[in-house]
Amino acid sequence: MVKDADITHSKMELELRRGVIVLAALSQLKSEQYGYSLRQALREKGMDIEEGTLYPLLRRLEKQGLLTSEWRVGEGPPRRYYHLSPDGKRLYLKLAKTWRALGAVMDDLIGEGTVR
Amino acid sequence: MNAHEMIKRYTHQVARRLPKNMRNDVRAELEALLSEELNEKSASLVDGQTPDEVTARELLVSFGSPADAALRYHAPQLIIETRDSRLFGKIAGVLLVSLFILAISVFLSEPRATAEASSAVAERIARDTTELALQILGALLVIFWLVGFIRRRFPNDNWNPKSLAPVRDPDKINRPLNIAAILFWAGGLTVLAAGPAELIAAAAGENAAPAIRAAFAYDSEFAAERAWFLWSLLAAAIALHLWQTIEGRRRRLTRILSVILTLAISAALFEIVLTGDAFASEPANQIMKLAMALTGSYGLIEVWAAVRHERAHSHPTPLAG
Repeated sequence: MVKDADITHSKMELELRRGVIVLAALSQLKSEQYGYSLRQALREKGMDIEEGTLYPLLRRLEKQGLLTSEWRVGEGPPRRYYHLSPDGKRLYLKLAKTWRALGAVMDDLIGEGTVR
Repeated sequence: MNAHEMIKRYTHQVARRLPKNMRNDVRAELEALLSEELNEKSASLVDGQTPDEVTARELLVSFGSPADAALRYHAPQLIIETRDSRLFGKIAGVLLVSLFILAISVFLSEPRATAEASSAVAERIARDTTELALQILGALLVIFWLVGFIRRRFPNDNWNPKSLAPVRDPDKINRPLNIAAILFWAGGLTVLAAGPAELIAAAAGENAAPAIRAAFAYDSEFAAERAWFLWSLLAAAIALHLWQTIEGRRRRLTRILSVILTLAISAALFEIVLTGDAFASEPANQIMKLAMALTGSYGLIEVWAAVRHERAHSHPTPLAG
């Protein structure tokens, strides 16, 4: 029973996190990042996203026109750098506003329904 | 295999599942990123040690199988849309069951003198049947893909809640429609029971061409022995519909009787297809057998769906209104 509850919790937490991954990634792409550095930046701020989720997400966001990217070959290994496109910036601002409003509402709701 | 070779193989497997125009790019990027991840994971290793296979395996397992990883990069277009999958399954099921029954029927009707000849006939029929089954499935896939493509190309943006069909009680009988259906079935059964050849002769008299009469004459064995059993079952099915129409709604008892009758009719049709002829003339016989196999298979699929439905609804859900 306890194991079932743990599984349910994991699934629901995953669903919750899935909803905010795009916003989290966009928030760190105001400046240029490549996949690994973005993951590190997010992890340092407490948002640990699996590489198998984050790297393909960057490609999908680019395909949607929200990111631009280019290969850089410097002293280190070749890396593909991403950053917000103009459409991506606009979307990020809107999503951030929605998130703040939603956060306030959720705080209220959770405050009201505190389980004792 | 060393760790870097493992990553190379993995990225190759991911890339080959992607559209050509993104393969090289994704492979190069993924290889670079996974190598960097691997180096980070191996940072705790003692100086001089290289990332080992176990560390690479853990990293790749956490990334997911190549097929799963490729799906995250690119959502492939569906051949059969989710909403069409049940219909596809039903049509494919009816056609494949019919084909299977017809193949056995052909096998039973082929002359076989020896065991070797029998085995050769079975092999040929199995090969032809498999080929035809694959052609049928292929044609169905093309049709369903085309329907989905047209739907995506021309989406219905003019959807209006006013056009929604009214909620219908599935057990309530539409009397006018059912009476029309019963009259149609009764007419069809009369034609079958009287015999199409006899009806043509009665209608045209001396002018009826002997070739047409011969084309629609029943096989004598079928007419004398099995036909009346089948006509009786069909008559019972019509009587059941009439009973439901008079009552105005289906009840559990009539639903169960309907399932039993459908099953019996399917079995009778298969028995006729497998063990003998229905018409004396071969072209008419083949068309009739095809129709019987299709009807019997459709009946079987309906019975299966009805049994599932009955089991699923043994505890009715309370609905408002």
